[in-house]
Amino acid sequence: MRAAYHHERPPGEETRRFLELLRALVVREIKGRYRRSLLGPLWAIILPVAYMVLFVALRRMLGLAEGPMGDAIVIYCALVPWTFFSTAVSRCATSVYANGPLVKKMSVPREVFPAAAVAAAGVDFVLAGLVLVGMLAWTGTGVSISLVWLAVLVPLTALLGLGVGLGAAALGTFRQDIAFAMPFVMQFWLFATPILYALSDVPEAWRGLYVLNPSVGLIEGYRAVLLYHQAPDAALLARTGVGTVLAWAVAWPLFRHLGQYFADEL
Amino acid sequence: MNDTETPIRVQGLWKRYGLPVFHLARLARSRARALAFGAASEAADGPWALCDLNFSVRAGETLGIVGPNGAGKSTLLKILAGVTPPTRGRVDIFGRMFPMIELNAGLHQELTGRENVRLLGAVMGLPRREVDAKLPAMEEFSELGAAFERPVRTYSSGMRARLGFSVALNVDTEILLIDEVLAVGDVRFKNKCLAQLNRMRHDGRTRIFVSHNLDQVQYICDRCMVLDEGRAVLLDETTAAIAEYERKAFHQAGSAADRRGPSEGPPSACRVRACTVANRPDGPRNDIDPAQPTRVTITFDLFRPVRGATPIFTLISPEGVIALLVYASENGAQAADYAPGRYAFTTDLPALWFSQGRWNVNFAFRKLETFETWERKAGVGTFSVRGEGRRRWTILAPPAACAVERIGDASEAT
Repeated sequence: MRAAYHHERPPGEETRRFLELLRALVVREIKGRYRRSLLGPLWAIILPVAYMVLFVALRRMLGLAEGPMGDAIVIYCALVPWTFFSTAVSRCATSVYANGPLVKKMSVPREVFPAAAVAAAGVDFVLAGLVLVGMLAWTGTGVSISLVWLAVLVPLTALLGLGVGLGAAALGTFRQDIAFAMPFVMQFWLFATPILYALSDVPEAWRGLYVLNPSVGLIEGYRAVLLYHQAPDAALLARTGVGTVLAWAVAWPLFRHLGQYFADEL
Repeated sequence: MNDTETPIRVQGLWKRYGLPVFHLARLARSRARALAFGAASEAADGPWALCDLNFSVRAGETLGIVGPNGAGKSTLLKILAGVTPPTRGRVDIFGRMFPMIELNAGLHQELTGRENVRLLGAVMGLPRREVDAKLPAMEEFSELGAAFERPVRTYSSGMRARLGFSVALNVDTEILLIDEVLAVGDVRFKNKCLAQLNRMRHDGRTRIFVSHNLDQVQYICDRCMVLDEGRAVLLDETTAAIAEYERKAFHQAGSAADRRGPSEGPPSACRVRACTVANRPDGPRNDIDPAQPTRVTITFDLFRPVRGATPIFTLISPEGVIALLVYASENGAQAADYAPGRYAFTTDLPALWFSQGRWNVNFAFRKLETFETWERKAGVGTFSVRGEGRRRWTILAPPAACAVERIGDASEAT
């Protein structure tokens, strides 16, 4: 006999509940996260700024040539979206586990937990972005019509983060290994993305393989749009799009299937 | 059957925990082993948390679910709530549902009571407008006062329970699932919640109530299902179901105490052999009519000569209160010096009007001067008290002749 669970509710109830809970989870995260910290939301800025200082210092030590715009803004411009992406993925991985008590008592679609994790990372992204805006203004980089591309890049970053995050959450809920691997994987991924260096620094022979990394197109896209007033490289961005679709094609069904059993496991 | 008449329908429900993949792997392994060694393994098909449940709940009805620990009560609620999927069978739910399972799930330690109430509302799927409208009522019901604005981190467990309950009891949903949430909180607040649940009884809501407290079940449920090892062993009108459940559970426990033999524990000077509590000469033992005198008999073995000592027993009420403590030495027992042998310690009690429920007997054998204890054993016996009607919340419930009459005018002066 087939197993079936059917819950008939007023139309739209399911969607409404999803959104209501998503909102509540994000509010809880924002309100609760920094309540007992001294610096509070400043932490959202400290992380990318610290990395920026570190990377600029690394470039000086390695004797790498400084570009016409200066290293700081080039690196920070990449670090802000990268931090969004990597925080989103890391938080997704533990989101179901961290919300165990909720998972065990509610029948809301489980996607709400990774989605809330990405949204909370998005808030940090906006804060870190404010500093970037300040830096852009300070250096007199100016604005151009190419900024409309942000309407593509930002959602794409979130979608890629959520796609990868869904997979990490699906597996991470069942085995702790994902939680252990996550910091290392994201660190590795950071160095496999053109942040410390430019894409042009990557040896020609490696580049075919290198650009398969979907975050390459994203980061290069942000730089093109914000620093150089250009449209993102279409070929690179297309690879990011394909990467995102692939991540979702694998991770979402996996999450849907395993998600039914989250409550059993926690 | 109409959707609106039976909002909860369960057909042939089976549940086994864990990922089916893991189970298939286990099954394959055991099949392979069976092929290799020719031994059939029946363990491969389990363990089932629920086996073949079939029931439906009518609109406006309250169904109680009772059963020993691990019987599958919480599992059933989780499946109804859609938290965990059924392994086999069909579950149909019609209408908005509010699962009161682990009420304090999702509380954020750093947020205040008020912020957490909003959060709980969203967690339970209530529209924000509804939560905002009900917030004053919830605040008042919780009786938390100024603590309502303080972080939940500073709350006691009882205060947390109050918070959850204030939300749960002040929302309008067609279906309520209540899982042993009344276990915490002080008696007065618990009673307030029960009263509220009872008031809501005839408002057309469909409710499922899981509890270990049979009095609570009796108080608010129309029908009652008894679960045991994942099977519904009984589904009947509440009073009948509870009576049957008590009879089964207590007699099982009683016979277990009878059986508890010399094999247990380290060798000591004294060991209890059996304990019976009886007052129906023709009826079953350990099943008491509260209106009749009762005889308690405890048989014990003594392995060493003991001087200046006495056997003692206590009767523990269903709520865990020591209701009676009887020293043999203070109640007519002649001997204080005992030679080795088997003894029967018999006490005749007058009709004490024990409250209804499951009582326990504890036994001790003590030196009179030093209170050195040779043997102390909780739950050597157990008995159930049944009779006309059920009285609640008191240990003894004798009939009392009452009269109320007006004797004069009220006066403001003290």
